Amino acid sequence: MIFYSIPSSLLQVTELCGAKRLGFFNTPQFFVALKLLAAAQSELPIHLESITANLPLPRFTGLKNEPEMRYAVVPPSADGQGAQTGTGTGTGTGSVSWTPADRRHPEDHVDRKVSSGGVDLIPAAAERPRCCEIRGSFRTSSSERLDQQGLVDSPDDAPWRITEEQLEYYTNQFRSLQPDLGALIRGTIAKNFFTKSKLPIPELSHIWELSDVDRDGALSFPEFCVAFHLIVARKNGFPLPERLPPTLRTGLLQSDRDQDSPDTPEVRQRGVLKVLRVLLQVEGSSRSYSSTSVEDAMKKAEEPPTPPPRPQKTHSRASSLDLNKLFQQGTPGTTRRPPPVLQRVSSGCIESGVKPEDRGPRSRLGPSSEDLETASKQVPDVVSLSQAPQKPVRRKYHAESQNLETTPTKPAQKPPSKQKREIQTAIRKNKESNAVLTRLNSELQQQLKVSRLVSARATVPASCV
Amino acid sequence: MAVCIAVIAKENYPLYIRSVPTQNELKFHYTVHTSLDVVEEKISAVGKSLGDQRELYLGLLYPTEDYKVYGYVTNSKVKFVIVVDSSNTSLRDNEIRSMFRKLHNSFTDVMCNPFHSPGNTIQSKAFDGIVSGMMVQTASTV
Repeated sequence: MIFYSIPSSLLQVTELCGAKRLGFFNTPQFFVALKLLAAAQSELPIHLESITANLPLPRFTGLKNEPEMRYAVVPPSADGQGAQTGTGTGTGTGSVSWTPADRRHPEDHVDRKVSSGGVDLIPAAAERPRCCEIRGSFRTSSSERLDQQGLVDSPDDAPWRITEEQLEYYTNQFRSLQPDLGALIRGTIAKNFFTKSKLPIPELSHIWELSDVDRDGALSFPEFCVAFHLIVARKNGFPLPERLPPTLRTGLLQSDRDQDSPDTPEVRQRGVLKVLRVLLQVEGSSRSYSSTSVEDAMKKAEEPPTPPPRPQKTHSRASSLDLNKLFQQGTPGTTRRPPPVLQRVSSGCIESGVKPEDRGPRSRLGPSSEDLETASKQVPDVVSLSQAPQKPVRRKYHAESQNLETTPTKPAQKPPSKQKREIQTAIRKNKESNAVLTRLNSELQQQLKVSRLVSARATVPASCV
Repeated sequence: MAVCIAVIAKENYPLYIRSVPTQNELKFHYTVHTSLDVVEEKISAVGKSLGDQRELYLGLLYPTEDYKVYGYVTNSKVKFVIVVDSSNTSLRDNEIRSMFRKLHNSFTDVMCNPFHSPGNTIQSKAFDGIVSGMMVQTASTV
């Protein structure tokens, strides 16, 4: 009781509300004390009868809990409605008279609230200060509220146990956020949802720490229940525990064991994160400690799959070089498109099969290749061949179109992988050397023929002579 | 057992500082602040040579007669600084590394909390607990 300004009447108040006798302020005492303070502050004599008077709220400096204040207005008006004067027997008996009028009024108020909002945890807060004042009729009031809304509130029993009705309510709320009960609610969604409860952010942060047991940044169904339950408890005035209470924890462990990890992407991700963490912690000392954090692991995992982009230009140039060579080697002078393609297909089938399958240029080439097909008759034959040559045929078109159009089309798609390029270049080189060798071969053979002829001629005269 | 533990954000402002409450708390804060220069130096030096790969544990940054300062940087440029008393039984390198690893893990947990916005000071009780476990146990917790 730090925040009020009438120290002299404090003793009186504490005596009257019975806290002195008990040794501490339980909830009924607290509310009686508040009422008495209000009385004292409004210069009324401090007696138990004064509780029932229609008093303004006690003024506390620095207290700003608006919703609570709003609902604190209710009892004075309820009192005015028809309460008997309190007896002088102390503790909560003076407030028994509040029961009939009190419960009627806040229930109406609360019903209106419930109908207005979806997830409105304020009704729970409103109910508790009012109905909990009554010690004797406590259980009955709580059971009544049970029937009404399904938000059970039995703080005198284990507050950290989730009852059936609560579980049902939580299940419905979970379904409203995420229809699959086995899936996870992501952090941002849960944050928006729990912020509606109007608890301060540090407390919500603490609740999250308590309930997100596997530390994956998302809430599974049991974790969600735990978090919701903690919020409900907090709204009803219970201080947050430092560690998760055992009753709630066992609930989490059980449901974890029961669940057969459903194959949802979130669960898989969670599993992956866990595995990564374990792996990296095991890896440990020799490696750099970048491996200890999951973030770093994810970054590393991302690195290998994306190879750096390579300029496509060289490739197309190389293929155009190839073409030129083929022009020289094959039918010189023919510049029409279909014949070289035909030749290419017939001679270089193997090479074409190895060429990387660029989906991008293929799609782009679709129309261009079609044009060429319609133009020539030979091409359909080419196209009717196996699928593998078809692709390089289009690639040839692509290279040709590039050459002819001289548009440096920078491909936006992913470039071929390193290995394939290496194989390509190797094969190209081999082909070139093959061509050179065949030329050499033909020349040598010609020379051979010539020399034979010469020798024959030489021998003839010799023989002639 | 550390005497002072600090978490510094990427922009070099403190996210979390905790020291053993003695008269010279300001001295520890000052030490952490000056050690940031050494950290920057180490980051920039290593970064050029190795490229992506960089050791997160920076090691002994700055020995003075009274205490030693160790540093550790995450990949998101969040720095952890631990100040250790020299008169203490000299802690092995592995112990310091394990302390940093624990710090990093609980820091990751704090970041995963959706109610924590990065850039705010760390107010997690779990994190506090871990840090208290590492601090010298003589004084009462702040």
